[in-house]
Amino acid sequence: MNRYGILVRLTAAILIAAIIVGVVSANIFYRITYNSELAAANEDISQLFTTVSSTASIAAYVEDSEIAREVVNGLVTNSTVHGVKFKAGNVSVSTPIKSNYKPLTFDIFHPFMNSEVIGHLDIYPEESFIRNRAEVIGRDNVKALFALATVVTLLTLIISHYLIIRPMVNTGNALHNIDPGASNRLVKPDFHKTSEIGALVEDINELLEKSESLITKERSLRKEIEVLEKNFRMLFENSLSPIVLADRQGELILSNDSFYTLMARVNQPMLTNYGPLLSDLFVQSEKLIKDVKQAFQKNDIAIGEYELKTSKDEPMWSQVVIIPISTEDNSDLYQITLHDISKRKLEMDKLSVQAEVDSLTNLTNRHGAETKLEDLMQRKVPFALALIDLNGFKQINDIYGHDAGDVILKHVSDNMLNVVRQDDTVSRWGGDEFVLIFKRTEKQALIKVLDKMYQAIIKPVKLESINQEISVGASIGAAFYPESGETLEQIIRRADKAMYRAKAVKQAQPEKYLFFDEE
Amino acid sequence: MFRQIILIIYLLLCCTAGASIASESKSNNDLVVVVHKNNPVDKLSKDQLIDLFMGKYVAFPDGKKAIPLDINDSSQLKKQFYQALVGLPLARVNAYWSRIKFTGRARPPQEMANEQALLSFMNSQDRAIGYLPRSKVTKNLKVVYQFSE
Repeated sequence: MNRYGILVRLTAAILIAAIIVGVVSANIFYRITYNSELAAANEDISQLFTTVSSTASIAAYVEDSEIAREVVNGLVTNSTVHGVKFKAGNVSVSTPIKSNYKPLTFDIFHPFMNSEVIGHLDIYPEESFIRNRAEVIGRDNVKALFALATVVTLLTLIISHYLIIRPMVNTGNALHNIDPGASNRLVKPDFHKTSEIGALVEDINELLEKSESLITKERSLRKEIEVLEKNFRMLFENSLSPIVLADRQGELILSNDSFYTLMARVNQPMLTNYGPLLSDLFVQSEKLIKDVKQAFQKNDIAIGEYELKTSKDEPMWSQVVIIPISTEDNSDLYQITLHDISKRKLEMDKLSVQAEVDSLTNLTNRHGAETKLEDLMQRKVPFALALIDLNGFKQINDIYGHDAGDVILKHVSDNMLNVVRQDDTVSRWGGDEFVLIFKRTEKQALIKVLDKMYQAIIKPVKLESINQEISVGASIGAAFYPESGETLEQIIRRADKAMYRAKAVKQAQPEKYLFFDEE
Repeated sequence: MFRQIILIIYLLLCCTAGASIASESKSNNDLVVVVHKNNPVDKLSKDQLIDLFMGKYVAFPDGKKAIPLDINDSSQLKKQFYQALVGLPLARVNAYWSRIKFTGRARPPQEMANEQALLSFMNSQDRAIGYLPRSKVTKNLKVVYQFSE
């Protein structure tokens, strides 16, 4: 039924139009018929009058009501005549007449003087008779009209069905059965090669052509994307490094299995948010946020190494690589990759300890001291530096051998370490030379510490191999940062100079073992 | 000479025409309508004559009863009279009367056998009215209308 919607609507429209036109034209026809019937009746009545006019003239002339009545009665027997009124002189003859009827009035002439009017005859047409006849004719007209309308409607429907609707429905069905992107095309219906339907079919075929090429292109693109996506997913899912995608607030948008393996390893619950930039996972969470912020001001990528919070004894370290990603809808996301560097960090620490510690004395070696000093200077932290050179060590080495020298060195080192605070650093600078890095700048405090150190150095030690106590002396030169110089080299040189002044008087005035740079 | 001939012809033509007109207007055969000389009516119009002879009124203008008379003989007098009065042939006149007669309200004029009968009837009846050729009018009668054509 739905497919014949146009036909149904067309039928309804034509029927309604036919009914309206039929009603209106039937009315008009009725009026015209009535009027023409009325005219015909009037004509009939005129003729009737002609037939009685001579009698009427005589009746009027002699004013004879008998003859007049004869005329009137004769006229009334006619079916088109409703009533008659005769009036001439004193004679007036009439039949009963309905008040609303209108008469046709005829002049009655003198029978012998034809120009003289001597009376009037009013003849009232029988209107209901005329109306009935008009109605009968009108009804016949209406019947004919409706028959015509029915025939025209049926013909219109049949013609539109075969000419328009069937080709349209066939075309529609064909279109319905074509899958988007298929190579099928519509065929123009017969007799519609150049019609609007033909043009429609052409346009649809053009559209089908376009959509086919579009869909083909899209399919191949989709295939490519699928392959890419698969590969990316593989990369992402199989990555040994935990990778997450998080928004500004730290809500995780994407995370791979490795990330949850890591969370299990560090005993973290499964959450969807570990703070901005995963900072809650790290011991130095605030530092991480600060570092990343600084890095982003300079670069696009932030890389740093941070210790993970864990309940285990072994520290766990991660290299954190954070790449900011601006998405199409302008929301900032972060790709955060964690590399497990715990093992490396452990080895590095060990290495670094090895590198910065003197293996004999366990004191910080020269490299360690330099690193520390550079660090202090970089941070502009004021400090004092004391260069300590042993006196008499070479002789012990020469007389008792290197083992004895080592014993002395260890003895001196241990003693020195015992008198300084944790904060201060005692370093073996090389051979029998030591350096104290003193983080307080009060001279008195420094003198006090150096005195304790001096007493510790000169304390004799029993040499087991020869069963004899031996001892060494020391000369000390001190310099200050930043007063003595801006560079390490300058400060060392000034301390060295001061130390040599002490050396110069070591025999004569051994109590003056300490000289300051400014002296 | 030529002029005289034309004049003579003209005069001759005029005389002939004048003679014929005079002979008709003064013809003794002209129809006249007459009443008794004692009748007070002196003159009647054609309308009054039609009304009297066609039965509309049967009285003179003074209200006295009138007796119209026809002459029904072989002469063409009656035919001549009705032709002159209402311009109808006798057959139509008779048909007219046959319409009216049955109502009884009016009657056609009384029929006289000939002119002689009419004259003797009119001598004895001073209410009568009849028609005659002018030549037949006697001294007892009075002309109240004359048809001039």
